[in-house]
Amino acid sequence: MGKINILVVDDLRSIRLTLGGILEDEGHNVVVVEDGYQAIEAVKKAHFDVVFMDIKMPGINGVETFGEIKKIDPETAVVMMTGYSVEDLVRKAINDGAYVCLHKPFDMEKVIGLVEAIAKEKNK
Amino acid sequence: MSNKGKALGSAPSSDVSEGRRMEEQTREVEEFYRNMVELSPDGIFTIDARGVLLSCNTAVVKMFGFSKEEVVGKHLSKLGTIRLKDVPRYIKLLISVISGKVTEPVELTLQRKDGALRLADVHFNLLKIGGKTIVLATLRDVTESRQMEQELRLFSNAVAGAIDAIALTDMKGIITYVNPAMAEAYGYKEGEMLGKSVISLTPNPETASQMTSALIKTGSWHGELESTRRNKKTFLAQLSLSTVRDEKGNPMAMMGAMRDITERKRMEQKLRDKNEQLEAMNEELRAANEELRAAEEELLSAKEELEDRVRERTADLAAANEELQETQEQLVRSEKLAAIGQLAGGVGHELRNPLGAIKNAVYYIRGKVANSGLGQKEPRVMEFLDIVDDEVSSSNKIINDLLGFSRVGNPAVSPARIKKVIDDALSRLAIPENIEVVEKLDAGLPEINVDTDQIRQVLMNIIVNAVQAMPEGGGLTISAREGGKFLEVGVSDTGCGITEEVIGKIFDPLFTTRAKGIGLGLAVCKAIIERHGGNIEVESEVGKGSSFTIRLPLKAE
Repeated sequence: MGKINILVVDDLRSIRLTLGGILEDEGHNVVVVEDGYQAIEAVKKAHFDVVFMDIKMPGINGVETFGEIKKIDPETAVVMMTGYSVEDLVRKAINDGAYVCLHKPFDMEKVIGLVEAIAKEKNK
Repeated sequence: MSNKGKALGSAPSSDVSEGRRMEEQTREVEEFYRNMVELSPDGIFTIDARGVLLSCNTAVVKMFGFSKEEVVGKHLSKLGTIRLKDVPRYIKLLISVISGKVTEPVELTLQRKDGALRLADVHFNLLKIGGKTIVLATLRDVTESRQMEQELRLFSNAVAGAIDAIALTDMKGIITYVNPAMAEAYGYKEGEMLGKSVISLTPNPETASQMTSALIKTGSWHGELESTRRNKKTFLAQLSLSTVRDEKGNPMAMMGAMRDITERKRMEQKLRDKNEQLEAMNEELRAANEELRAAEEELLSAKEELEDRVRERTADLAAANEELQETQEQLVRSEKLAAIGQLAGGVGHELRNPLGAIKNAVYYIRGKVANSGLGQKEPRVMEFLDIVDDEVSSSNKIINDLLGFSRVGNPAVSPARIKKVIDDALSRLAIPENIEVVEKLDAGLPEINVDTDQIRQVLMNIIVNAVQAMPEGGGLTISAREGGKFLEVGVSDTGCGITEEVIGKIFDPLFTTRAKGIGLGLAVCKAIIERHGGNIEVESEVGKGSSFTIRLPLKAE
């Protein structure tokens, strides 16, 4: 399985550590940031294959951040994360080209599978 | 007697026979005159200058009832023919007679033998016979005739003085007498009317002739007749006519009494008019009274109606008040629910993050423990990690329920057969074997427009409750039939039943009799059914079982 670059954007430390930890354990390069601004800086500096983006965050929310990231790096697959069932924001993100929307709490097996699928797509 | 005149005037042939013949003739003459006097119907008597009665004839005797012997030779005053009180007066009268002062007949009151008073007309004549003065008196008993005269005068005066106009006519209707009132009424002088025909006194000659013929036939006529005055003006007269009959009953004259009733008639008419007016006013009054009475009745019934209305209104108000209170309670409830919903939503969403982190961590730890061999050495570690994972899922489910309550989505309806939904629900549940499941679904039930997922969820919820109510086993009956505009689905069990104090609250959110879990199930079911336009009800008897009835609207034709 190919190694890919993953960015995890979530204001909750426990999510950052657990999600990031699991994905790193799977062998990927994982970077974690706390908010949208940091995410944008990160994407400016490096290319990420997948970004896990929490929607509800202080400052700019996940959908706005996604919008900015798309401008910087359109190739990145952005996975929206939400504790909410359906939201206007989520719909907007999907319309704008987000890869998928996951509901917390995740079924990690599925998440890992998703990452592998994206990696295959990118031929890595 | 033939030679009476001759006897007095002729000269005698011989002295003796002549003398005898003259004596005889004188005697004859004497007898003649004596008889004349005796036979006269009037009383004749003579008195001397002193007042002694010298002679009287039979008539006098007859008149007074005395005999000749009783009165002849007696003084007048002692005759008994004069009332005692009249004697002095009559003596005076005699003196006047003798002195030649009385020339007219005198009326004297004389007495009969039986004491009855008679009125007599007496003519006195002074005679000088043989040097003596003799008074010759002729007496006529006029008592009756004087009486009659008086009566006649009375009647005559009465008629003349009557206010009623009275006239007499002959049998041909020619006026023979009118009283002053009659003359005045017609505007004539009394004498002018005499000889006029009554017919000339009326402008209606036909009526007049009818009048007279009726009068002749029946003897009387009474009526009104237009009459003409002397000045040609007419007036209305009320006439009473009658026939005057003699003693034999033959009609000898006609009498009419008349009254000018013009004024009376005018008054009568005025009265009649006034009466009519009064009648009219009375009618009006009566009508007004009627109206008043009707108005009164209306008022009364209006009052009754008003009272009824007030009563109704009061009742309505009371009912409205109750409704209002209910609505208020409902509003408070739904506000509470809305608040809870919002809170729930917020809390639920927030909880998902920590749950997510926990689940991720458990996943990682489990993986590592399983690979490390610790899992085999300490199986409880794996078990407990599983427990943690399960409880995270359970917590998530609770959040889902909570969020599900606060946001029951609009049902995504599509035509469905209830039998399929029921069977679907049953197939997803593990129903214990000690429960007998009976399906009583009517044949030919129409399709209904429902969100099959949601309805299935509802049925599953209720069936699970039913199963939980029969831990020792029992019977579960699911029925479906058409009920008016709804499809009725029934789920009944033979379980422990629901108590009265609980049954009213089982559809309330957050109400639960279970020790664990939050009671959102039935509240969500109710919300779903009501979103479909239906309703859900429960009946229960403690110890016997419960029966839920779900009504879903049939497709509108």
